[in-house]
Amino acid sequence: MIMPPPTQADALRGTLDLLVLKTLTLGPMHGWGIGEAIQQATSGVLEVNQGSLYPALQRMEHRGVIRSEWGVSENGRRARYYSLTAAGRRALGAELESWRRLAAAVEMVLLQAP
Amino acid sequence: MSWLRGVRARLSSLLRRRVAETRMDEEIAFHIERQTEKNIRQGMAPSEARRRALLQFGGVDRHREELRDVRRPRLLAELRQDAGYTVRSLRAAPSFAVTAVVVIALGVGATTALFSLASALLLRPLPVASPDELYMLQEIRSAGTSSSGPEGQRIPYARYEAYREGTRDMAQDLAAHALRTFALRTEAGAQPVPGAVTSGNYFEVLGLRPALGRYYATGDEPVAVLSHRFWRTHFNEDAGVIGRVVHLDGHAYTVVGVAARPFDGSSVGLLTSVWVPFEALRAMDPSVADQRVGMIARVPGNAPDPGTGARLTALARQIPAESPAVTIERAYFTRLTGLPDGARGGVMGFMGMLLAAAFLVLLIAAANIAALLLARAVVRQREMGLRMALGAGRARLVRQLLTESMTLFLAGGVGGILLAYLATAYFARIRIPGLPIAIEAAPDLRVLAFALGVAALTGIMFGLAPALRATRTDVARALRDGGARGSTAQARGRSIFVAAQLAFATVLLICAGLFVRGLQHGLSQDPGFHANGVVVGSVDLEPQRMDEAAARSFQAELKARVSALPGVESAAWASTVLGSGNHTTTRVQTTAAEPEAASVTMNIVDEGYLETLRIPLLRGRGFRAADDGSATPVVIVNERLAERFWPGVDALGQQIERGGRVYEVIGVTPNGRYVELNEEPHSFILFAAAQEFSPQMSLHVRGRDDAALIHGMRQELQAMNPDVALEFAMPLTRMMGLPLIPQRFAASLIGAFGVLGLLLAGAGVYGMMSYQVAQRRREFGVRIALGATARHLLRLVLGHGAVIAGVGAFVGIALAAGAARLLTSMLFGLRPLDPVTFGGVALTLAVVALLACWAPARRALRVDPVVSLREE
Repeated sequence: MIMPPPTQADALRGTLDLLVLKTLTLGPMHGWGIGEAIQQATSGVLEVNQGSLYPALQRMEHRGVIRSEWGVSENGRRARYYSLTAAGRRALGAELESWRRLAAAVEMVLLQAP
Repeated sequence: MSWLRGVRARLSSLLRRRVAETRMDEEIAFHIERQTEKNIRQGMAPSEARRRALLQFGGVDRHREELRDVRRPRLLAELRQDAGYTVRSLRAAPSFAVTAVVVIALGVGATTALFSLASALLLRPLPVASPDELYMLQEIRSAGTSSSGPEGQRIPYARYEAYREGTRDMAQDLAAHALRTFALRTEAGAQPVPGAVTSGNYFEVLGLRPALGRYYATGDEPVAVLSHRFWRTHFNEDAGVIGRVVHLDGHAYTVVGVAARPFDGSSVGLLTSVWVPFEALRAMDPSVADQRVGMIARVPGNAPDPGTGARLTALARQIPAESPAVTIERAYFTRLTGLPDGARGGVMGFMGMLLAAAFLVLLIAAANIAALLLARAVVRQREMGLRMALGAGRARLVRQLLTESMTLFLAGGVGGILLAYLATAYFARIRIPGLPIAIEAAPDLRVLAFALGVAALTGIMFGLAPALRATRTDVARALRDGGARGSTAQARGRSIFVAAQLAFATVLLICAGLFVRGLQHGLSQDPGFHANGVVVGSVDLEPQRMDEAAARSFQAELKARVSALPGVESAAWASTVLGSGNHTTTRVQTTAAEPEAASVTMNIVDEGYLETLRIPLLRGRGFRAADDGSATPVVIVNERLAERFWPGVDALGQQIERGGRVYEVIGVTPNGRYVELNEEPHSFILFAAAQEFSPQMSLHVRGRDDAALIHGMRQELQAMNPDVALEFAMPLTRMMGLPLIPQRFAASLIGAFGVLGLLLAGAGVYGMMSYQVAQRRREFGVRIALGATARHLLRLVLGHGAVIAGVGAFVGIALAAGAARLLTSMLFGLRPLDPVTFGGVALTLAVVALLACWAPARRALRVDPVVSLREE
């Protein structure tokens, strides 16, 4: 099996859904566009593992937080466009909240005096 | 209704798989293309850019697979997981799996075989076109004027013809048929062949197609149709049989067709080998004109019209009956089942009893497996604890365990179906000499559904308790203790399953024991005659169109020829064979001013009869050759009739009247059992053959070597007339066994079930005791270290076994006492609570339980305290 060269950090496991939801608040996007958007937003620090992106999208669609439909891409090709649903907006709020709590907790540990 | 949406999502996910697959391909292609463009923009050569894009995506096929996993419905995925888990866990314990499947197969096989038999007798429609459109036409007549047989109620043929005309607006058509044994002329003498005479439209009404040739369409051509079975056994499936002439009762018929399999006649279980049209027979032999027939109507649609009953009754009253004494109260249609109405209840009761016995075997088998599953549950407590700690839900684990037990039970069910096929093939081979009976009970779809349903149901019922038990786990405790120790609740559950097995086995053994003892009891009673050394053969001269004088001289010559055979001691004619289950009753009365009347069993016998059957005379004399038509009519009565008619007075010389003729009593015999083993003594009267005539008589021959006697009788008969067959030729003792066949069948079947059940229950006791002794090794070690004696330990182990065996036996005996009451009518006068049977079974059970506990108890004694304490 061919593995992608681990050049940049993969998006943290479990945070991919959060990143996708957040990215889609910008508007409907196709899979490749979502990956590019995340990479650009983090100045290339986070590269979305393309292998986990599509299963994640399907899973999220199955859960009903995003929906998809065919559209025409910037270069005039047929592409699958994903967009947030109302449930997705609510899920984003909840996931943001829990991410902030986790980040704060990690921060507290890291700032402990030796 | 969220589950409903879930189901719909899964369904649509399944249905849309193909659509999703193309969507996925397109999306991946798009992605690779965009990545390639990006790589080119960053300065790569196009081919390199595409290669890198593919590399970055990381294996297109793998992604496809992952995407599929997301999409695949969860339930199916989990089922696949459960199945995989089941296979792994059973492969890890192959001996358990094999044992379980075999044990369940035995239980399901017993049940299925008997259900198949019951279904063939009671549920399965006749193999004819649209069997649910067929009805029997029955009459309710004034008392004593009704005749019935396997064809249902029988009425004179002329009456049938009137019915056929009169019911044209109620039924599509009406056919008639009557079973009749023909004498088929063969090179080896006449052979009795079970056949039927029918109306010309019989096959048309049944909607049958011939396998070969044609059926007769009108009633008046002298043609015959053979059954497929008879064509196979007697004509070797030779197609050249069409057009050949066969002689039945001396009449020539041309074979025109062979019936299609599996049609063996319109009576369940009774084989018909040859059919001939009645009108042709009547043209050749006018004496059969008043032949009685059963009627079959085809009424298309769901049911006869509502007014049909009233119209039928009106029609029935218009048709002149055979005698002015006959009045018809009502006529009606009733579904044609192949069994006469009266027989249905008896067959149902008998099959119900056997099926109940088979269900007990199934319950024993299932309880046996449930006990094993419980033991497995204890061993797997740690595994379950671990899985729960890792986040598996209890429902999920229960489902997994149920999948495992269901797999075992369904595999057992399939094995049971195979066993049922073997058993029914064996049933189909059972032949009773002289009786045209075959039980075709090969499982059909209904039976297969029954088997799998029963297996699945028992799987759930008996798999659920162990599954719930295994998953009711305190996670922390299970992991800490290593889990391989059973709780008391678990031990109790297992004890209940083992005691239940013992109880059910007890019921089976007691019922089987009662049947065996009942038969012994019946056979040990003196029937009033000596059957040993006597062979019988029946000769029917009715179809031979002989007058009385010719028939009498034929009977006399045959008796003389047979008496001259080597080894023959004596020979005698009688119209009825005692103990064969057949009997004829007649009405007799005294000649007093106020006559006393009684319905009594009668027999017409000749002067050698009392000697041949060694029936003693209490007073008076037997018949003599001189008691002929010109002499005073004489009779011999039994003690009971003598006491009834002339209490306290000598019966000799008294007079008795029958049908206007007066007879003088010349002898008195002791009471006997004339029809069946279990009858109460009843009145019996013998008439002299020289004074009363019957064209159907049975020759009784006392002598050496049964087989040679039967062969000799057959040869003499053939030499005299090649168109007269010797029917039911067999030793009298075997003939007397025929009515006992149901009891024998029940005794051996239930007995086999009982032994099987006892073995399983014994294995259950052994398994449980071994396991408990192994569990308590440490405790025994401590006890021995503290000075417990061997006797103390033995009492500890055997005591537990005794409690379980005692509870099982007690419950079993209580259940059996209830069941025994239902069997009373089949026990030949044996008391249903027969102490020998109940005591014997209780003793057997105690011995088996003791044996099963013995080895485990010995193992407990051999525990070395040092070793067992160091182990942990």
